[in-house]
Amino acid sequence: MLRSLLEFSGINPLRLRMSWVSASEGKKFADVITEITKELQEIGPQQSYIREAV
Amino acid sequence: MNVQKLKEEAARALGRKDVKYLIGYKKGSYGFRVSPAFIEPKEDIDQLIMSPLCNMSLVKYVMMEETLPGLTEQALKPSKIAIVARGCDSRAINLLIEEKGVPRDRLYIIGVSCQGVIDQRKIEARFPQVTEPAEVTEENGNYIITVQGQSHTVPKEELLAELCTVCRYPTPLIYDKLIGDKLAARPFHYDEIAAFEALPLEERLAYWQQQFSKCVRCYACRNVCPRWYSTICSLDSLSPQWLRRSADTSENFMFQIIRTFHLAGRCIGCGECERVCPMNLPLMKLNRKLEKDAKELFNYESGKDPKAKSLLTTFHTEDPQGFIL
Repeated sequence: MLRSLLEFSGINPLRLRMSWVSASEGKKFADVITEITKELQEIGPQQSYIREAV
Repeated sequence: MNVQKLKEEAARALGRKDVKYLIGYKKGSYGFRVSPAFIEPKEDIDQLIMSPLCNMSLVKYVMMEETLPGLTEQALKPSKIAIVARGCDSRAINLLIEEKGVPRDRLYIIGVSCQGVIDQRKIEARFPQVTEPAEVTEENGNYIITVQGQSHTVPKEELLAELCTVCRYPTPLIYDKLIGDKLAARPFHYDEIAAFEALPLEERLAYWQQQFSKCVRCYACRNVCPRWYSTICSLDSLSPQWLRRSADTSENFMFQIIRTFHLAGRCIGCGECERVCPMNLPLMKLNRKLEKDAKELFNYESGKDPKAKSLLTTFHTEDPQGFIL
């Protein structure tokens, strides 16, 4: 639901991701992280809603 | 709306030994405003009104009473509060009972079948600068509005609050006494939400950025919400500080997402947040999006049944799991 709410308010849904990875599944963990980093690099950083420096 | 019958029921409720006071509506001090009325036994029951102007939710006051610190079981006797509830209020009460905010036996609910209420902004735009209290009655699809001694007839559609057109349950779902006829549940309408979903991502982003930039973070939407009654709130917390105090677009976005998500599977669609918003943010658009998701993904409607389990605290193996990647 959070994902679809973010999508509704104009955030790319690829930016939020949830997976179940057990402590013994090191390989899966690495795969998930590599995949999401690759995807995020393709989208690039979010240009809006950037917190202003104080 | 049969006000006489409401007064009779109210008098009967206040005559009970276990009822402490009654929360209803009374005439406001100016224009098209109504005030909440807190009537104790032997007080004047005639101040009670029920008209299309009664557009505020009274459920919040129940919670405010119950969360007073230092009240012992003894001090709470006689313990019942009588409350006048419309369809949406009754759903709020249902959810309160379900979340164990207020026990059912603390409430004496006078249900009122609601034909929809007037949008304050619409009527004030139509009759600006009204200082004397005005009166409104409904007749054959028209509102008869008495302002400063003059009577005007306005078609209902022109002043009806937008949310009332998508109201599912005009008749209360929980009550001890019901006033007015039972009205059938109406079908779902999420057309405007679906239309907004269909817009491209950039357009939606631009729309919300523009909207959120207006927010002044007065927290009126949070404070008025009958769903908000916790004493610890992440929005007030300074350590850790989840949210900065500054009212800029990025913090406002964060605030609104937190506020909306807090209502996932809990919003009962009374529209109080939108009504009190000084900046006219379309908050119900976010809330109704979650309502739509809850209905479509989990076939869940909030506040329908006081014995139901709330959506986000339950798990079924057949729940959709598309979000796990």
